[in-house]
Amino acid sequence: MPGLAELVTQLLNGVVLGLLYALIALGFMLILGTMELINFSHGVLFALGGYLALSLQPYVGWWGALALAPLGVGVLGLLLEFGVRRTYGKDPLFGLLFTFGAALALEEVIRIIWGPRGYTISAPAFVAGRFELGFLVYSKYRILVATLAILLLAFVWGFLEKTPYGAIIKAGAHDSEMVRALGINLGRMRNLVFALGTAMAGVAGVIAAPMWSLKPTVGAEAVMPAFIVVVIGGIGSFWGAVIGGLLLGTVSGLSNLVVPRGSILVMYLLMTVILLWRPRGLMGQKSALEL
Amino acid sequence: MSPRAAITPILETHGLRKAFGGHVVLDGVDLAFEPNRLSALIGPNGAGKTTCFNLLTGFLQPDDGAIRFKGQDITVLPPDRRARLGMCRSFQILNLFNDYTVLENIRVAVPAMRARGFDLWTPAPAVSEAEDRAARIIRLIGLVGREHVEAKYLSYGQRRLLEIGVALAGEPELLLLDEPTSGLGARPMETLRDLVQQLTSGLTIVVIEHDMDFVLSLSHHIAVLHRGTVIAEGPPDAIRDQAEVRDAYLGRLAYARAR
Amino acid sequence: MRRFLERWTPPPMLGMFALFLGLPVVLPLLGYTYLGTEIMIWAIFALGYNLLLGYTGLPAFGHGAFFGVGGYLLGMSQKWWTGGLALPLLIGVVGTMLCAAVVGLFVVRKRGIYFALLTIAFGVMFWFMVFVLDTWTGGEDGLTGINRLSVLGFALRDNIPFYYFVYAFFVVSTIALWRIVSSPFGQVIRAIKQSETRARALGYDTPRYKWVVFTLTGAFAGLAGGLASLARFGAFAEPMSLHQSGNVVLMCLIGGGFASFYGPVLGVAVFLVLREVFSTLTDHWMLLYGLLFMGVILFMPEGILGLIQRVRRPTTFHDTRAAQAASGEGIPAAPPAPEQSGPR
Repeated sequence: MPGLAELVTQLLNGVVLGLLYALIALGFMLILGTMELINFSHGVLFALGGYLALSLQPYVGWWGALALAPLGVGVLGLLLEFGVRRTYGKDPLFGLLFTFGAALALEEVIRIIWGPRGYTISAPAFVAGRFELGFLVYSKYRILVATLAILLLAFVWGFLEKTPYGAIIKAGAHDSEMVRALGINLGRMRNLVFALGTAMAGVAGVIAAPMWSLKPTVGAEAVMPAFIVVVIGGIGSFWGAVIGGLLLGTVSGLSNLVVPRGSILVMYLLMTVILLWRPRGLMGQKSALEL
Repeated sequence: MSPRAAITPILETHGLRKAFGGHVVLDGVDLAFEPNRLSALIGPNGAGKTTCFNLLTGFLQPDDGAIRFKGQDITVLPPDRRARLGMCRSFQILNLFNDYTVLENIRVAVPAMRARGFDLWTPAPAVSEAEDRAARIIRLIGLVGREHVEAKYLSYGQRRLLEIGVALAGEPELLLLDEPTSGLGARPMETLRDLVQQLTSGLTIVVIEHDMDFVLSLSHHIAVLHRGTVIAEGPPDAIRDQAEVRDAYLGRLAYARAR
Repeated sequence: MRRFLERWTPPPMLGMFALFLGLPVVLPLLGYTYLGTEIMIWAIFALGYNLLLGYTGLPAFGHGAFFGVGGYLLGMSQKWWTGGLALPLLIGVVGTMLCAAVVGLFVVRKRGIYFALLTIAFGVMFWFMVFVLDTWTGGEDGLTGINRLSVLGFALRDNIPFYYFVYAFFVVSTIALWRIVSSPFGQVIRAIKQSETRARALGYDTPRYKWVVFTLTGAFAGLAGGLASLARFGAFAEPMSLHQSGNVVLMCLIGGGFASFYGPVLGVAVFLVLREVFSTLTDHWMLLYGLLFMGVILFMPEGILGLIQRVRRPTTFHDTRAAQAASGEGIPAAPPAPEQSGPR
């Protein structure tokens, strides 16, 4: 029977994980909702964030890498968007496959540049070690991760709620037809959303690197929870992504106590149950994508 | 008691309401369509006619009200069930199977084919009942000689005819036509008029139309929809003279005559 | 006679069968013995899958899972439940079909991107289950020790008899799929792809049809997966990954699955041959692969056969326009968009 301290630790781990999931899923969902595009390269861009930070860190320090690496990923995202553009208006399959191809190619590029082996990244020196509060001993780094994730989520929330572009994205987040009808410069908005969404993946990659270690396939592992979070939370809902992410993170974190390897299966059971109960996800809205 | 009161409507609605967000499109619509008649549903743009059709055929669900077809309450039935009960429609914006030939379009609509929908083995052309029925429909709509032309290659007028043909092929008891003459030039319009005129025996037709000549000369009964309610109803002569209808249509009528 | 051929094995199909019949003679000369078998196995998978993708227009992206499940079910049957060859294969097919039927219930009411998303999610779920249930499936090492046994006195351990064993299934599957596609059912699903709304308006319960197609593709995937595990003497999780599910889609696309019944077979052949070629060129062949993917999507989305069809089609169009001009009909329709062509 796990003790209280262990329980709380796993719970906190789950929350931190959940926040990361939410961050990745949100970026993924923005692209999904606005452009009706499943961005398969989201995972590999997450990985690239970590790798870029790894290379930049010796020159600009950890914070510098945290700022620059996502920027690099965002630029790459913009480049990708130029390619994806040709698939707009056609069967959504084509956009999906394009990003799929991009994911394959980029994963190989990572192998070419950084080699096939993994890197263990240690947390930056200023947050190394543990934080003690009474009976609880928790990794300082994870607390930093959680803080950063919350700040970023808040930033995105502010962007969506308070800015005109955000309002349009929210409107478009589950009904692209409407946005088009409003005459908004769709091209520029797509650029923005793609860059933002991919940059979010990049940031997540930077801060997750010490937790998850860095290898070329880490991207594929990171993108799969994103799918589940979006399905659980519902397409087009900010809070859906956040709650979905937290739910997924804590459930899989806690199930680690009980059934060590079953946590992934639990994820899927969770998704299935939610789909049965709420076919559009917890907070999803009815869209043209249903009958 | 007038003879009309004794006839049971084949299709009727009671208090049909539909709103999108805050915008009320239909506000308590009561309609009754007699069998074996051609009835027209007219009204200015935005009056709610196509929404009405969508409710009747099951592509939209009403917020309130009921729909009865042949005496049966069909309000919650999905569109495919209603079609199988004998209600077929054509679409205002052409909705054909564009890669299918004329023959394939019609054939897949025939009940004899539909009954074998889950037949995974028989070659489709071997369902002779469906082939025969399709051939008859193609003759009826005047597209003989074009059976093997893909729908996307037909002229607009021919596509309009095919659109109706597909609805007809379903052997409906009630045929709903949504603006069948939309965008047609003079000659295809003639063909269409003749076609519709031929059809009225054994078949109830409800037409949404803007072309007043078409409506006034062909229909037995007209219902006028304006801003979500029926403002007038009756035979063409009565409707033509009603002040409300003229008001509602002022701009439209002038435009129709000018054409 | 001609009608008989058209209904069972149209000339192009006979040509294809003849080609594959003679392949084992040619391939060893090029140094490949296994490639032909692999092409046929994936062709079964892809042809079945194209029923869903090319014919019904449903972009499922998790079918690699069903391929894998077929292999594992065969392996588990043979090792622990029934032994033998025929029964495990049957269990593989039927079991996978049941899995597809269950997943289908969840996904058929969704469209487009949401549909794809759900199929991905379920597909990956099966993949993970393989690792969780590792006492049964062998986990990362896979389920090894599968025997090909023998059929009609021929030991299938040898490549040539096994090739023709697979060939038999290839022929039967192709003919079965051709019948399906030519049947009333085939007419309905193609109609659903072109306009689901209209199909419903005609009285078709479209979700049910989609469910049936989904389930059928599961059966073919299970068959292919079973044959694959026989081929490799083991079942592995690798074909179930997201990666591989994308591959079957690309195969269908490259060959022209949207335009032709045979597209998937051509696509499989091109795909597997190119993979061989690329991997001899460089260790980083995955990069070339990904670039190929992107290139095909951008520049040749209708696939090889679609491209060929498009080049040949203008003749028909001009004939029609001439006929229209002669009869004095109304405005000619706009030229067709190639992506919308359905398979013939």
